[in-house]
Amino acid sequence: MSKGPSVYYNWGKYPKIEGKELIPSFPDDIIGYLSGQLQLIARGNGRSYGDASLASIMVSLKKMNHILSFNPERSVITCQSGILLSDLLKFIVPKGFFPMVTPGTKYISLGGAIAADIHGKNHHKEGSISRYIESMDILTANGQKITCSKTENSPLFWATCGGMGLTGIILNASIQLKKIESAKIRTETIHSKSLKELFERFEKNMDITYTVSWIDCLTAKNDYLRSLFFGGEHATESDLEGIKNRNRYEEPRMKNVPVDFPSFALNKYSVKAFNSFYFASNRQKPAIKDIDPFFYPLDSVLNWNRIYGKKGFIQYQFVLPKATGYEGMLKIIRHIKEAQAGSFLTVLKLFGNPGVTGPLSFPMEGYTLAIDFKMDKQVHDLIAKLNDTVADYGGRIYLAKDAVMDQALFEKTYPRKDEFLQICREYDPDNLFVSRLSQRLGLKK
Amino acid sequence: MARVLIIGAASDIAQALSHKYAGKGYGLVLALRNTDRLLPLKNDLEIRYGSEVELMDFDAAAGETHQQWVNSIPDLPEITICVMGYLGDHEKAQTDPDEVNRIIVSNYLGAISILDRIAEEYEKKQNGIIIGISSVAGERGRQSNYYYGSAKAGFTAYLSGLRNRLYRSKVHVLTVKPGFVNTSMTAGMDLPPLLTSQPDQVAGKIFKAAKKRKNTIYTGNKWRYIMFIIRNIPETVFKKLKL
Repeated sequence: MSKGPSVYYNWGKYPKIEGKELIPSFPDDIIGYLSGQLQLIARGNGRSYGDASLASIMVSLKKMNHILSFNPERSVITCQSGILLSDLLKFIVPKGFFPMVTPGTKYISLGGAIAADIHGKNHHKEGSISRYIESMDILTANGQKITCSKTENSPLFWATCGGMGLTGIILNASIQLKKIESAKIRTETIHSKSLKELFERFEKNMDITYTVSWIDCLTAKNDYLRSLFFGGEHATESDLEGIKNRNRYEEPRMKNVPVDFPSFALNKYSVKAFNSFYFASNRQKPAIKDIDPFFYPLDSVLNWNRIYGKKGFIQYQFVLPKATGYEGMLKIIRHIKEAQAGSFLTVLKLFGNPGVTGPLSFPMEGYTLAIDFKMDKQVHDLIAKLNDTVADYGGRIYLAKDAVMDQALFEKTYPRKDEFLQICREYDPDNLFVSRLSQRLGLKK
Repeated sequence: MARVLIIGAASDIAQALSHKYAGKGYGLVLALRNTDRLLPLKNDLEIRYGSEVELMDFDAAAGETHQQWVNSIPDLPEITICVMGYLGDHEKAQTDPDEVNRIIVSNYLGAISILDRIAEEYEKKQNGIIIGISSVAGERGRQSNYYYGSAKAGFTAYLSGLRNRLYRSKVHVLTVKPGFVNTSMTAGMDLPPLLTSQPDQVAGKIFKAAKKRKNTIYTGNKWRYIMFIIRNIPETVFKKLKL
């Protein structure tokens, strides 16, 4: 009953590769893997969309998921990198804490979150996760454990934030949390009818902590683009008069997609129908929501990626700088509308000025759009068109979601890549840490 | 605080049991070699559940030290779970007596040595629960792992006898027979997903069964029926199989 290599893939189910996953029980076990001269990459929960944590040999950190220390006075928690955000939330929310930055799914590992320098709905106000990492321990290629922070070994720190696991294996990290008064979110929903209106909505509401919008590309016409703008704040005591269980972290009942849908299930008709339903059911009014429906709406549907069928899907996320954002976004929406590419998950957010960031960090001040495309024959042509537009307008693609970008586009849109490679040469001179992503982008082979 | 002693605390099932019992408000005494390995787990359990966790160095093979070791535990926990086990390399064992010895000590001799000492204490106190993690592999020797299988078969019989002896003293003995479990012990194996349990599922079942004073449980339940069939295949047929 011996195991050969198995098939591995991330959330987009594309690409699928053959590889071997080593699952060490203790951090000391990992050092043994490094001397084999076989290239490998660390793997968390496999929630990136493309090939970021795929390689012939992957080292899973899933058993390294312990809370090492918690300092409520300073709002700092230290955990091993394999801990899932979902697990962390169960512990910190009842105690009155919340992560400073959370992405749209809670099923990511802390290591993965750092390696992608994740952002959330509050980037315009609070930045990405790297801002809140006090320090972390990295296991580098020669088996040395290095502690790094903004003031200690800082080049390694910054290269690792957003570095997609290519600088070494993140073992643990201390992160700052925010204090919350309740486990509820006060939300408001506003409809808009054009991109201009929506952009104004974002600009006018920069003081709201969490803002995000959902747009419907398929019914866009001339100036008309319908969208839902969501704003959210952690509900305070006074917001919650009469609401019971305000500090209980409510986890929604899970639904499941048990099998891959057939590939015809998701098409422009079904998507249009969904969009109409979604738009209609989100009324314009303030509401008090639980944490999960606001931050992690899709997590309550286990395996929602099966909706896209066996062939999987591409999640395309890019950012455009503020100056050209409006024009560029209009052009891109036009391309998508023309292709009638079926996607019902089209999310647009505002990014603020990130300040100091890692060389491969994704966010820049401007507008970001995330959209799903079913994997089919037309999608590559569409993406090529979109890529050209993104590059022309000075934007870039999010590596944690990317599955198809080529080396040329990467080099054009990530100008600090040489700075990144310099740090890799210092800490990983023999290219031990390599992934399909790094090979595809010509970054590390 | 009620406490649990877990012997062989490094394994995945043992760690899942630690989480389960700590989550239910128990303190823990975790016995293993190289106790440093469990410092992250200790921190986690203390922070998460406010549990009191003690790590103790324990050498299964050094039977002559076991009495002293038990004496050194100031307040012996009421529940002892023996999660000791070593699958071993069956092919290697066929020609290497040291490997055979390791398998037998880890799964049988070492386990019964420590449990004998615990049993004496519980008998004196007329109180306690002993939980022994055996295996379905002990139900019938098969060509691919009969050293492990025979050691576990011995362990199952031991637990049964112990249960019989200790009944008079109001001490309960639970035999746990896991089927396929997704752990580092089985990491190199291609296990059928429908028949494979996760460590936290196994821990949950054990916790419930101990509370209900069950005698023998299988994890998952299906294995009770699978092993019934396996046990009853006539030997003339079984000897020809390649299990």
